[in-house]
Amino acid sequence: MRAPSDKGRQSDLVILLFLFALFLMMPPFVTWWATAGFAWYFPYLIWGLVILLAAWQQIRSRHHDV
Amino acid sequence: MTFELPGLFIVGVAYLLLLFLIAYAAERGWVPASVTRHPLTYVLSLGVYATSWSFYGSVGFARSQGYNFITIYLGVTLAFLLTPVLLMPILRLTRRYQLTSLADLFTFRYRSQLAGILVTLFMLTGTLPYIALQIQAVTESIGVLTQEATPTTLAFGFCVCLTVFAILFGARHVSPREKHEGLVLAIAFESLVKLIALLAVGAFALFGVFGGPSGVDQWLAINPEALDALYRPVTEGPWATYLLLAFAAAFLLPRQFHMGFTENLSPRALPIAAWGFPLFLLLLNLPIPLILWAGQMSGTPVAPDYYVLGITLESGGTLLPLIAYIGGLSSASAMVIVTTLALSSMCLNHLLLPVTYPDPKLDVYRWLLWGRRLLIGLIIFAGFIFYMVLQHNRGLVELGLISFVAVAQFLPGVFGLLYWPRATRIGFLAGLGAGAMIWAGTLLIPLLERAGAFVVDPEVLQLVDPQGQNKWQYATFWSLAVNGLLFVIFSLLTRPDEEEREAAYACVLDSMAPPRGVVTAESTHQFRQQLAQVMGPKAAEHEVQQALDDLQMASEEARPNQLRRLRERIERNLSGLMGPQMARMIVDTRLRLNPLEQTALGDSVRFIEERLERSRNQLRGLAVELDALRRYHRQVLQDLPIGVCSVGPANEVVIWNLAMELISGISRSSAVGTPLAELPAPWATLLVDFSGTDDLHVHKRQLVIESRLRSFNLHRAALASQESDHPASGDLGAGGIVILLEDLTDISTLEAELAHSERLASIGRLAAGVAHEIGNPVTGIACLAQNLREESDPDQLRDSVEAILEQTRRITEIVQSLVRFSHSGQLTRGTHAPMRLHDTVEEAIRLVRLSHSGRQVECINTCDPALELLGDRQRLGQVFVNLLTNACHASQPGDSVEVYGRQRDDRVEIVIRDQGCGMPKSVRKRIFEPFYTTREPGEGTGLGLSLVYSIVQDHGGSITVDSREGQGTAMLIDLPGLAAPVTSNSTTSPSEEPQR
Repeated sequence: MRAPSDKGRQSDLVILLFLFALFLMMPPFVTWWATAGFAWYFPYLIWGLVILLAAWQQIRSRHHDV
Repeated sequence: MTFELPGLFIVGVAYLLLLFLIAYAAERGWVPASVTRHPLTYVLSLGVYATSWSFYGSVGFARSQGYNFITIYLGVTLAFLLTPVLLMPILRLTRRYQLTSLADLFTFRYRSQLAGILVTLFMLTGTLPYIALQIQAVTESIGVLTQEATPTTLAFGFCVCLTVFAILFGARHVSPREKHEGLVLAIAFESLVKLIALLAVGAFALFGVFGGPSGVDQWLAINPEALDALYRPVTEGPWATYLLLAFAAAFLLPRQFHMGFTENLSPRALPIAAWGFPLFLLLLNLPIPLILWAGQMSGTPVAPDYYVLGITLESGGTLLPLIAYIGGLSSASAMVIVTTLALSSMCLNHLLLPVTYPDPKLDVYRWLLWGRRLLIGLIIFAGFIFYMVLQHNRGLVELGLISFVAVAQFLPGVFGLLYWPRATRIGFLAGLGAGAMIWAGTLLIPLLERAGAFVVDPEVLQLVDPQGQNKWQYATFWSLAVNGLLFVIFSLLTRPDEEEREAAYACVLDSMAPPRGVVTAESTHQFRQQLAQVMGPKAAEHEVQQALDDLQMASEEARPNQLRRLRERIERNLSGLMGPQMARMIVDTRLRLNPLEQTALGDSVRFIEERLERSRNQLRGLAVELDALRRYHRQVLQDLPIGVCSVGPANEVVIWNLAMELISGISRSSAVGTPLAELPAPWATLLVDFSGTDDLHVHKRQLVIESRLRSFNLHRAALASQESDHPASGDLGAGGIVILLEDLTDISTLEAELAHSERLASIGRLAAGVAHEIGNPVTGIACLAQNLREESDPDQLRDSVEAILEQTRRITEIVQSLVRFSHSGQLTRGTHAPMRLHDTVEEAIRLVRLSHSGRQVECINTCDPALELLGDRQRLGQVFVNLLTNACHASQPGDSVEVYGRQRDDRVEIVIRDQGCGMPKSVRKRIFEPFYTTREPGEGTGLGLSLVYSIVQDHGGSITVDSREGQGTAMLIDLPGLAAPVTSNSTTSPSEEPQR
């Protein structure tokens, strides 16, 4: 008998990634980077990091079906 | 540098024509499907999200609210991160149930036409400011380039062009349910154009204005307030509110829903869009700060909303401004075209059709097509009117955000749709209604009041319209809070009806209850006739044929379960054409179900299995284990080396395993769901006859199939009803029956060969006796013949001849007995005929006497000479030969063996009793087993008694043994008499099993 599906773990990963992105994009983290004096492109770096993680997650779970 | 208005207009029209050519090429198949269906094309088509607000307005947004402007794209990123749990389920629903818009989706889930109407009206009202924004952006961008006030006629001309192109892109086809590959490719191209245009302007800002990255750093070092102006509003502005609004807009805006779900050509592209689309948005927004600073640095004399165009004029050339202009035009035109197509579909299904359903005499498709075209024109015209009312007095961002707050009102309904089966239509309508009213009171009415459309009491206005950035938080919070609260409260206070509950499970658990009832129409022809009454004959014919093609079903199909599938398919197809509510209404009224007629169990099983197969990857926890267990059990049934056929209560085939396919040559797909009586011959007769009898087992049933005689054992068990709380004690048989079919053809052939071998072995054993028996009369004949040569007395001569003839008859009898006995047995059991028991036993005794042991024992035949039975004389003769041979072997010289037979009711009892050594219990138990023998190796085959058992069984009889050590053995045979019905098969229940 199969162990709990990979799909279940992938959904868990998606939720975790979403929560992590939410942490990066919501106060107080946003307040911190907005006042820390970073370069102008810093928000784009955070955004890019989230996209990279999403791409990594999608490549891990290519077997989506509809 | 200035541009002429006509020139810009011609460039715009030429660009739209280019788009149309791209779309046309895709639809004609000139562009390979690998391009139109490529995930990149899908990702770019989603770029319709970025309108002239993004292209022009982002710079102005960044100017006024700093980095708050990227929340509009970060919210989208968050929504797309949830693709597997948020967007993919919506895509599945829209594809499976042919739902073409958000209104269709809500109507399907909440089973309410009112929900569709409310969603459509609200979506229409909420989106009109957004369309007005696009018209405003295009006209003002032209104003920037010509440096003149733009005439209203230009805006009107732009609207006319958009109407024509919207019809060309999306309303050329008869059916809106068809995917528009051309539209997808054209919108993807537009996204590419605006991305390239914005990056080109950004590159000009970086290298043309600042002289490179170091120039930017230097400028920021000199103007630190510029960077501060970007970061500071993040801590002050409605960052979280914007994120939430963008999150909702990412998939709820009509254009996003249309491109993301309705026009999705390949579902596998959506997971790639989960990161591909945010990446596109990131690239699109990367140049915004640079363009803003470039505009500030160069002091371009245009509003920040149009810095994208303004700074390009500083380049001194015409190419870059034109590229920027086309980029802006791309953004606006794509938005208007896709939004209008989506809204027209919603208005058609939920406003126009319920009010004015076309006369069946008309061509329904044509009516729908022209209705759609008319609606496209009306919607764009309404956007133009809105633009005229507002007339340049609002920023681009404000108009866009109003629409964002409007679509955010659908969030509670969507979450209820996907995750909360308890949500009801009353809850949805109450929540959405309240949210819409708060939205109108806090955002729309103040907007129109400021535009001068009407006058509102300033005190009232002050109450509902707090100025500044705070108003977005205020409107979003109150509208969504009241909306969500009423949604939950009213859902808890009301109960969903059965239809709604069914739809809720379809949405939340991706599973619907198995279909109930049977379609009253009995053929596809009747389907056509029924549908023609509401759709006209042409449309009815097309819809039925389309559904038949989709299901790869024959036009002659008449099986109830297949017609039920056809009905479901037609409903889904009509849903894509007219919306789910109208489709259900048509199907419910014209293709009625008889709910009293029991739905075929096979249909329900197929339905559940199909659903489980589709939902396999969505199962979690215990459901995964249960599904694995289900698969295991199914596999066991499928791979059993014995044919398994389960029959439902309505006598239809539910399970037809692989062995059954091999035995019968009937495929599982054609057998399952078919009534047992409609299976191809001879299986229908075989299985129906068997299921109609009281016998639980039938042995060696013979059938001629394709000129080959085949033999089967059949077994049957009744199934308890699945609806019983205690299936084990439920109404046995109410759940149908299961039939097991054993193919004995090969075994029977082998048995026949073994029986023949056994006979030959017997003849071998009799050879010495035969020689002796024939030798004696031959010697006698020789002596008589010698005497004849010298005999002259006629009387003596006659006596000698008579004696010779007598000896010859004796030889003939022996030879004939041998020939009959050794005659090769065939698989077919010889035809049963009336036979005298006494004669058969007598012949057997004659044969046995040929053997050495047979001569030493006296065989007494006490059977009634008149006693007759129905049987195969040759095979029953073998039974007696074998039994008598065994009896003689067990007897001492001088003993006697008696064969006694008598009629008892309609049976014949035969006893072969010897006075031999008897058998111990251990031997008695095994004597009928093949190859079991107590003789020395080489003296016996061990097949004699097993053959006897088999022959007696074939005659519908039984054999038992009564033996005591030292007291002899009696073999008791019970056979049907002449009066009893005798079949070639025999039926026995386990309790009647003979002692073996």
